[in-house]
Amino acid sequence: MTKAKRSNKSEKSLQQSKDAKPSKKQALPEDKVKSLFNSKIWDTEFQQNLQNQIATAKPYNWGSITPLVDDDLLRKVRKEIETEIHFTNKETDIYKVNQSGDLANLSGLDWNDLSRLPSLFKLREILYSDVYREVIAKVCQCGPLSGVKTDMSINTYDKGCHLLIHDDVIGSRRVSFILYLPDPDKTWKEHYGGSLQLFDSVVPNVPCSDPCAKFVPQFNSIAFFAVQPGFSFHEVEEVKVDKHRLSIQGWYHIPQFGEKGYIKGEEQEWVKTNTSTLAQLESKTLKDYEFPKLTERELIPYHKVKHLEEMAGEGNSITLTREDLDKLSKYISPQHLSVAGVKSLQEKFLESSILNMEDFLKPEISDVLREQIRDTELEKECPYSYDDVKFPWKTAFPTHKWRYLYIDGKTDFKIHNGEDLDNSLNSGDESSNFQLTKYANGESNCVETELIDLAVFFQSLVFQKYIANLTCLIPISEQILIRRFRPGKDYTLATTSPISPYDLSRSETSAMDLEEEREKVADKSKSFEFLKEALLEATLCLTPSNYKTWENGEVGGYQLYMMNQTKDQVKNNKDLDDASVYKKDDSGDAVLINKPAAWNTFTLVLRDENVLEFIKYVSANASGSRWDINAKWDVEIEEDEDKQ
Amino acid sequence: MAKRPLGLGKSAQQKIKKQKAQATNDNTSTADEPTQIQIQLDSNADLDDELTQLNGLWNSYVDSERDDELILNGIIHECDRLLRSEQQKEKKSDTKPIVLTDIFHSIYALALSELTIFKSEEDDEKKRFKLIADFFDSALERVQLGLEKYPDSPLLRLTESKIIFQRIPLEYIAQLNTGSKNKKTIPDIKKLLKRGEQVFDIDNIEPKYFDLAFQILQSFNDCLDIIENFGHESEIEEGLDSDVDEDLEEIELDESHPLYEVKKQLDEHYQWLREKLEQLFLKIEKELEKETEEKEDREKITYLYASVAKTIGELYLKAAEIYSHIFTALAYEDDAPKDIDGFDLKTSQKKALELTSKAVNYFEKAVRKDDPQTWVDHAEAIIDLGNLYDYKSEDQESSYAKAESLLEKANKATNGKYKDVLDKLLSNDDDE
Repeated sequence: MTKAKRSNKSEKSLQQSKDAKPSKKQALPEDKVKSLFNSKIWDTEFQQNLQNQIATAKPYNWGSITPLVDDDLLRKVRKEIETEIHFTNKETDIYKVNQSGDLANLSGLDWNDLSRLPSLFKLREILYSDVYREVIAKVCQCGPLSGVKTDMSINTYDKGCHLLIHDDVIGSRRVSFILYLPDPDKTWKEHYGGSLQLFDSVVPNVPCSDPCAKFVPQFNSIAFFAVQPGFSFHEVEEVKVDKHRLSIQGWYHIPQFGEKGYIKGEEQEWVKTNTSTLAQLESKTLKDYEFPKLTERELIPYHKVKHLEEMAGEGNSITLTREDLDKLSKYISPQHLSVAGVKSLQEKFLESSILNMEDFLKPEISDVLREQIRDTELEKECPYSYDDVKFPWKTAFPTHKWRYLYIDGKTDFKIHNGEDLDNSLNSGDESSNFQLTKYANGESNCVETELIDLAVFFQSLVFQKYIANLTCLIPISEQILIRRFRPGKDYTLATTSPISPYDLSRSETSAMDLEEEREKVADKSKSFEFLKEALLEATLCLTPSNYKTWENGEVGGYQLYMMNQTKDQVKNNKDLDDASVYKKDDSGDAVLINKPAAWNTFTLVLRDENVLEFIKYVSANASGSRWDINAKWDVEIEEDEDKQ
Repeated sequence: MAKRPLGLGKSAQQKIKKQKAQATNDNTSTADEPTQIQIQLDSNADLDDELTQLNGLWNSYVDSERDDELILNGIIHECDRLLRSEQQKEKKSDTKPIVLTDIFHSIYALALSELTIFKSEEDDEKKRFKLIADFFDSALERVQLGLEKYPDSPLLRLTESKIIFQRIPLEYIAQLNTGSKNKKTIPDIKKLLKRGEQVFDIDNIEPKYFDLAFQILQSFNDCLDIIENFGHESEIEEGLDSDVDEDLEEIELDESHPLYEVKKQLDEHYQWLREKLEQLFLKIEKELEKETEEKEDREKITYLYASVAKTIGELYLKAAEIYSHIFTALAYEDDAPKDIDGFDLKTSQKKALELTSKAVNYFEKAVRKDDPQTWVDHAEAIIDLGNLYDYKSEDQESSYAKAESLLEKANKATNGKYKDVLDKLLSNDDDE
């Protein structure tokens, strides 16, 4: 009630301030500016010490000052923000935050008219004053900073809010800063979350899995760092309690034309050279660091595909034999195997390219497995740091694309540096063999062995037949992953459908044995064509904790499919300049599927190339991990159809 | 050649195109698909019965997030329709009239009352309170009409108390601030609370209304909490420190304030609340002893059992607070007087131990195997109990050890979510 009242008032206030004429205020004199800062920052010895600290800071050059400005001024700023600014909760794959405007910056808050926010106006003025910028430039050793290109936004992070790892490399940003304004009369404790976490890099552009430095926010403290392409990876840790972590973040840019320190062409060169997190993720070199490698689906042996083809009748519809059904019924619920049930599923899939099947595994399997997974969650300590993760589990990498635990049936490896990477590349391609990893942790009848049995079932010919039967598509390659998304840790960012490398018309390849297999296929089946623009994807979600806690998406962990923006939309969307928010969809119009984590649900999707998918970051407040088995198949299409 | 699936994105686009084309042909707008809701119906219910359907719709709403005003409006429209239908059929002698049961009247009244939550978002203050008052009045009127037909219905009496306890904070207290003086601004809260207590009677209710009874007592609990913390709303919104004993300073209200007298009687109301919750708890316990429940029903009632136990535990801890504070002050503060508020060290300890032991007992009953938070609630109550025993006594040490083991288990299950609670316990040990 109070909230609704407040937001209404603030909207009105903003509207009024927009309508008012911009006020022309006299710039503050330098001595006045200086008096509004902590006096020690003008001390040369303090500056030198800070400069040294920043130069030697780990994992990259960053620093902090506490307190930064006049306490009274900042309290007034906080009060103004509380009473005058309306915040909107925004959630994308990379963040969940309450923002002051329509997006991270500017819109919604008229920074040119801060007449209703006099203290905020004053704060911005001193933060971008010549004298203060000079100090920041000096201690960061980053070169001169623009005073005209101001760039600030206000966010409040309350329970569940977070901003996942990114590097802030956007446009002409040279220094990033965050000025914190939580409750001035209370100490912000570490266990509240909301810290600034900094990540070291394995090699440039590849951040490590775990953060190695942390800054716990306090009222009137500022953290800042020079934006370093390929290195300045950081995140805002999730706020875990019912508290508001208010902050003002901003950036100092490269000097603009007419300013002191301006160098012609410097900004263009910087922008050209340095790529944002998004662009990095799409670069080829980074693909080497991608684990698991989603483009490397293994070819299903030729004889199996041939068998499926031969079984397929008109329209690739495969009839399941009594024997097939017997095998399938060892795992799958009877309602999904009955003639009527399958027919209905086929029709649905043909119509919409998606199937949602509840109670996929039969109760005898499902009930035992559920208890086993939940017991594992509650009784066995879950590894949270990269080095604690033990085979057969591995950690998905790189961190600015995804992080989760997975079992892929391949050998163990750990990457700490470039050399480890070379070793992993030298080890070559390897087929997935879940059976070999089954007893890797020396235990039998544990959750891993049960999940591995399921993965093996997914790889079986009879399951492939079942999938072909439901979809009228013949799988020709596959990748099966058992995944666990830990609360307060794991996620995947939105990516488009990973393109198959098994396009026969393409020449590049990476492994001899696969090449041989491919040649064999090419020789024997002239009409063997692949659906290049789509991928068949299945997710059997096995999240055992209370569904009610996942249902509304508040704790994340949901799987979302959405339309990617077309080239025209990209051109028209200025927000895309900001790579830290590159996958937003506020309208919700583009969302195709939003599936909460649940127990025993099977989702089958024919995902075309323009469809993004992600698993939302699982909140620390989730009642357990999200578990699933994810399968991807390239599928065959009939040649004639392709021509049509 | 056979058709094949188009792909998720293309299928969606084609569907939109189809809808648009259809809309153009039909000369209608491209309205979104109607929201589909699943209605909960008993497996042996008569699916064609309109009252059964209404009941199912209402239960679906109650079990949902309760954030869809449209569903609530739908329920109210359906109630209106059934009412009209009943009146029309009464006039026609050849058709059998629908019998609108006390359940119907209860659902109708509860839905009207629930709608006030959405109306409280209205921006215009005057309009907001007018709307809220109108809906509450209509809800109470519906209860009265129901009671005229079913004067002995325990359900309708419960419904009235639910509406009263919802109305007090939402309509009346919401109009007040700490400086409010005119007692006539709002009705007499003291009388209203008493009325709510009087009509709350669970002696003869069916097990299917245990959940409703608990909701009512929770509303009452919230109402008392709002009265107790009146004036501290903004601090509460900011988020209180869970790991620090942060007592909010009591705001002294002027004698002329409409809440002045009610605040003085809070202890009695809390005691009434505990008694009713314990009554309800016993009923639930008895129900659980029966072995005939279906799995889903059993899960529901087990969850209710734990929730009620937890609430009682919290209320006992709250009741113990005053004695615990006195005991701690007398036992550990330098220059402590011999007694505080008439309680000396031994009597305050005895009283605090008695109430906290009860709390621990209920928190233990509230423990759920798959919910680490319940283990922590239990552990925290045990720590509170340990604090009340004599310093370094065997009872104290064993309480702390038990709590430590529960917290370790909870931290193992949650990646150290409760590390701060455990650290605090261990650091206290060190301090000592």
